[in-house]
Amino acid sequence: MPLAEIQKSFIDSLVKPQSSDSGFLSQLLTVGSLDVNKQLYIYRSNINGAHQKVLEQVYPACLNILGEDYFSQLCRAYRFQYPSTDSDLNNYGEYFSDFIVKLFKLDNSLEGYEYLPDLACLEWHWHRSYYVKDNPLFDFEKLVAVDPVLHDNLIFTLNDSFSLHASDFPVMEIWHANNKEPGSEQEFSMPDSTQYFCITRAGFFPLLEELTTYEYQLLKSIAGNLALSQLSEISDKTGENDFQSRLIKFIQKNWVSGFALQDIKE
Amino acid sequence: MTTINPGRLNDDNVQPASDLISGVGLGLRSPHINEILTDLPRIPWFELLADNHMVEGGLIPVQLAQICQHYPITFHSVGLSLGSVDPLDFNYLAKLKKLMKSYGVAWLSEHCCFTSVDGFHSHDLLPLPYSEESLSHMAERISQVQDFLGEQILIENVSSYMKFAETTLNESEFISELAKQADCSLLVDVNNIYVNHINQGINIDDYIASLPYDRIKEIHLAGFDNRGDYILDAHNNPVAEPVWQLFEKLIQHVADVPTLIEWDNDIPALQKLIEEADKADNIINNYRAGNLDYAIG
Ligand SMILES: [Fe+2]
Repeated sequence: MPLAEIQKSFIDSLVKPQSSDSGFLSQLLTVGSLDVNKQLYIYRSNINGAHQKVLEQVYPACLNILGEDYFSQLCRAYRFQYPSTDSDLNNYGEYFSDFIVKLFKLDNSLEGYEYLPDLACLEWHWHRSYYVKDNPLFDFEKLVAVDPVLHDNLIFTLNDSFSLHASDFPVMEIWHANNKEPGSEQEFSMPDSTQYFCITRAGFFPLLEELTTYEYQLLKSIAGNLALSQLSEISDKTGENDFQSRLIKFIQKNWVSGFALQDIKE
Repeated sequence: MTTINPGRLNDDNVQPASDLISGVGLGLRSPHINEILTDLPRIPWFELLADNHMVEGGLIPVQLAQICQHYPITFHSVGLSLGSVDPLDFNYLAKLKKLMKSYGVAWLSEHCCFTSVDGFHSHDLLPLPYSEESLSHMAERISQVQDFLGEQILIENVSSYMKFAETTLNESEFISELAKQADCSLLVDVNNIYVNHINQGINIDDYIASLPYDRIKEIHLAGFDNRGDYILDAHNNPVAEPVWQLFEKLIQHVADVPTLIEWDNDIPALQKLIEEADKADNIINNYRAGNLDYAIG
């Protein structure tokens, strides 16, 4: 059998559920105490273990809530549904939140855990913000040099480590209880309104910060590439009058790290 | 303590980075980095898992730069998938090359295996059938990588739990011929030879005897996990006694080749790794002193 076919059937038998082994097993010889099924089993379990270890590191709160046995079943199912297509293991696990959303349709035992997709999303961005590229600090001199006539056309850019979150569940409290303070109180009351927060890297480490509804709306609009004039309109509509101070706060916290004018990116 | 300066590879007047790699080094692992940067222990060199250092921002690149200010380093990668029939990932290679040049990395080693095919990544070292087809394919790919990097790379023998019907060469024949055809160097992992001996019954003495010693530029030592009906190259234990014995046999041919202690799972305190390195050092020193009855304590 040509090398290409051997490799393809080998990888198929690793990234797909067990039913697709037969083609590959016929390529193997029994050696010593290892029969052909055992040879393949060793690779399957190694790979499973390595992928599960990554997910455990990225999703410690989900692991704590679901327990090792159930989490391990999820990891196995996730690996078959979302096989890794990136040589960088730091990128593995990105779709875990989507995966859990789909799981709710199939698994009644998850009833009561409706917050899990939002929690997984928080944990993914927390993990991601640790690694993403550094952005230069906001260039005020460059901003001052922009002709005031063009200010309405300014489009601000968010830091690469920055992500915005909204949840109808108390996910920040759940995350703290299951990550930072394991063993603490696990009873949570539903918030009166949607929770807004962001994750960003401050120095070398991720940071989670709560946002007001208005801050969330502004940042969401910045993420949507709305220009300065449109951002001001939002402030007018919501009756907020401290748009400028919020913008300065975003820049000082390095959530906003640059700007573009029309389609000339900084 | 030897210090090296980033970028010195580009300077013809400065000692090549590879000359700074000697003695018994350690595989650098994240739980030890702060301690190493604070205490600067006397460790001759570190091997870094290149894939863990290819991130674009945050703490990791800063730590890499700091480590390079105090220690000579080599890169060990797992993502090149040299044996794969997929095209080589030149983006990955370009990142590697940039890092190697920036930090004065002495050399790059990779494995005699494939890790991905059809765009799917196993993140495991998957063995190849030791056939003429695999040999010419691997040799061609290694040549491409060396041309791109502008330097020789080291190829490591892997632990394998499989034997393919297509295999026609034994492992030592395969890697020896591979090194010749690709004109690359070899990294001999002693634990992997022992693992394949136990699991597949390969002949250790024949293996050691048939290696092209002048191409061996690095030796790996690690611990395995006994799983009952097989042993796993888990890097989660001290180096086992039979592996020390095999190391002694090997260094009788390559006593001056740099050696490295690898430990990747259930990682112990740094001191434990230093003790393993000291054992390797003792074996080498005893061999040089003409005392073959080494004491590893
Ligand atoms: Fe190794």
